[in-house]
This record gives sequence, C-alpha cells and structure tokens, in this order.
Amino acid sequence: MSVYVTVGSTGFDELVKAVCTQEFMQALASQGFQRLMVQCGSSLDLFTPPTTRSESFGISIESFDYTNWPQRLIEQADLVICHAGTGSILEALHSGKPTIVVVNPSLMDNHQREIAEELATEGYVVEAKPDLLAKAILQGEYTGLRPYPAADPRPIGEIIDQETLRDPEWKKEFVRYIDEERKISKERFPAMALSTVDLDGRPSVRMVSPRGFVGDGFLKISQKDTGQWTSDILTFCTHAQSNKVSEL
Amino acid sequence: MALRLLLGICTCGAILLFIRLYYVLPIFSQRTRYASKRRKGKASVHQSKGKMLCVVLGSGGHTAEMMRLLQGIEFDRYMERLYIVSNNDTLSLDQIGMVEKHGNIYNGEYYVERVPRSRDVGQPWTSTLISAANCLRRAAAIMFDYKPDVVLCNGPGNCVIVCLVALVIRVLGLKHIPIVYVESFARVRTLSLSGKILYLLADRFIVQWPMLAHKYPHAEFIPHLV
Repeated sequence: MSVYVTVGSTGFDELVKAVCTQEFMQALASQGFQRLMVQCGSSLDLFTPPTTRSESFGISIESFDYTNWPQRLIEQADLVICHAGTGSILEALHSGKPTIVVVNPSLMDNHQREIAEELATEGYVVEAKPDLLAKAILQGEYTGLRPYPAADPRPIGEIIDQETLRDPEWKKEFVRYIDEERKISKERFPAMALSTVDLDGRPSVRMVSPRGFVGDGFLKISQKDTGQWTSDILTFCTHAQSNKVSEL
Repeated sequence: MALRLLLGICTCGAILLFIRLYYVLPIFSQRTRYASKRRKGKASVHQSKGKMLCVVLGSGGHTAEMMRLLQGIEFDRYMERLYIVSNNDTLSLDQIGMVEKHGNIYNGEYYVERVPRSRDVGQPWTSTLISAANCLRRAAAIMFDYKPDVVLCNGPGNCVIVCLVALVIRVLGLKHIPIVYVESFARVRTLSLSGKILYLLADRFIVQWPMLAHKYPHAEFIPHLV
C-alpha cells in the first residue's frame, strides 16, 4: 500500500519536514503501508528521510519537487495527504481515496482552514496539523470517510445561457418560473393564468397553455437553440370556442 | 469664475453618472418590479448567433476550479472563447490547451490574452495602485477590442479589473456585458476580497456553500459544482 503526499504549486516546509521523520515512518509501517511518495514543491531540500532501512521501517521512499501528472500519482496511492489548496483537495476528493488535509499554519489570512474544517466536519476528509500527522495515521480515522458526490457544473452553463439570452428581463424571469414549474409538476406544458385589463379597467383572467416563444420552440433554455431566431413573442394554446379567444 | 463653472460642470457630470449607474448596475435593478418597466413599441426578434465567452484565469487553485466549471458549458453555443491570463501564469496556458482539445469536434476558436498582474499576494497598497493601473490599461484594450458577450470569473485579482472594464462598457452604452461570478469552493464562511467587490457589480453571484447565501442575499447557492 502506498501513500502520496502533495504540497501543491508552492512549498510547505512544515509538512515536508513532518513526513520524513522516523515517527511518521513507523506510523505508516504499523498501518501496513510500504511506499511513500512526496511531492515537495519548493521545500524539496527540507525533505531529509532516514537513510537506513531500519530507520525508515521498511518504507520505500520517493520524492520530487513537481509533477505534471498529479492525478496519476493519486490513482496509485491508497492514502493521500495534501495541503489545503482547492486544486489538490478536489483531485483527492474525486479520486475516492482516503484523504488527510493539512492546513499550512504559516500562511497569512488562512482561509484554507475554512474548507479543511468544513470538509472534515462533514466527514469527507480528515484534517490534521503537520506535527500531529503521525498520530492521525496511527488512529486510522481515514478509513471511515464518506465518498464525495460527483460534480455537476451544468448549472453554470445554464446561468450563462440565461444571462446572454439578450432578451427582456420579463422573458428571463418567465422562463425561469416555467422551468421551475416543469421540474416540480413534471408537466411538459404547465398551465398559466393570463390576465388582462380592458379599456374600462375591468380585469379578466383565463387559463392558457404557453407553448414557447416564436423562434425558440418549447421554452427550453437549457437545450440548444432550436433555430437561428428568437423573440419575445409568447405563443400559447387555448380552447378555440371559449370566451378567452374573443376577449383576447 | 471659471473655477465655479468647472465645479458646476463636474457636479452635473457626477450626478448624471450616478443616475446612469443606478439604471445599469444589476444590484439596483433586481429590486425593481418588472411590471413597472413599461415597454413601448413592437416585439423584438433577433438572431441568436454564436457568442463569445470571456474567462478570467488566475493562479493555481482558481484555474483548477475554473476548468472544472467550464465542463458545464457547451462550447458550441459559445463559438469564441477569450481567456485572460496573468503575464507570469504558465500553468493556466497548459490547462487551457487541455480543456480546448477536450471534444473531438472543432468547437470554434479561442484566444488567449495576457495582462500584467493587478496585485500580488501581500503586495503593499501603494505599489498596488501602479500595478493595478497597468493591468487596467491592458484589460481595457482587450475588452474594448473583443467586447465579449459574457464574462465568467471566480476570484483572482485580475477579474475585478476586467469586470470594471466590462461595467464601463455597459455604462457607456456600448454593449451589455453580463458578469457571472462564482466564488471559490474554498470560501465557506467568508467571501474573498474580489467576491466582496463583485457582489455589488456582478449580474449573477454564485456561492458554493450555504452559509454565504444566508449572509449575502443576492448570492445563489449551488452545491457540487466542482
């Protein structure tokens, strides 16, 4: 079994120093690990592992500064120890490997702590300080972690589509409501109440079935445009013999 | 006498500018009822041709997240992509190459433009004024030239400058360029500095943790984007 340690695109002195101690090696060996790979970044010269086999408790050790293929190395590992940078954390989370996140205490404005603590609280990762890393390994908390849900960035695509529609605000709002209604009621053509006011000021409401905007087809923004043209002319369907038609 | 005239003109100009900003900035328009905007005249029909998406890339973590977000956008609806990267950011260039070659279909074109960094982490504010002005000059040249259809950004310092330029273009009435801002996955309880600024300027402000949506009512909470 192997462990992969990554510090990200800069350096992380405390972590690099913590993973070359005998205490750490012993902790790894006791949990059945045999191989240790450390991506040190700019802290490479601080990585001074034990030289003899007995001092390193039989762990075979590799180290380097940077890699072009972090994902490949994560795939090969059985445990990932990473700094609390977003890129590394996301790679580790989506790899499905048990992960220990280490926050860098010497970074100013430590918002990295927020994400490490939150994910640890929710049970997706273990959070540990560099000097307590060996202990975290010995306690084996990394074995009972929750799998992280798969990502779905499509809502961003939809939002960008909505914003670039170059349509009047009412149309964007209208389509948003219809889309929500479709999700809730599972109706393809939800009914809508269409109200008008006549010249004497008397209001009137009738139910009709909206069928999309001229050019856009059936009100689906998130699909590809059905044609080359779009408009703000709303079409709808209603009973031909009802009062509505003469009123409208 | 001449000074008073100048002062008068400046005051009028400032008042007009603020009025224009009130009508243009999204944070004000969200509050108005749509029914009160009375549209005169005929219906509008327009061609929905290919659009240009502008993506602002920053250092490391931001780029990694942005590449994941881009997976959710269909490139054949945005046949032109404009990537704005910092001068010294080589990592992003590789990432752009990867995400652009992702599909087998040739999905339009992409452009990469570089800007000087507006501010390094921990840079003193006095020198920041100069570097930001530098960045602004280059960003303005790029944005006025390309005039993208939408700007997508997620936090690096450069994005504030780029979005400011987009806003100027909107205020001048040249083109309506909406700004979509996605706060970083790392921001659970607090907004980044860019986020705090762009919360007031963006058309859509997305956060990835619920606590932020409570603190900032205009924000939209969407989990599991990355």
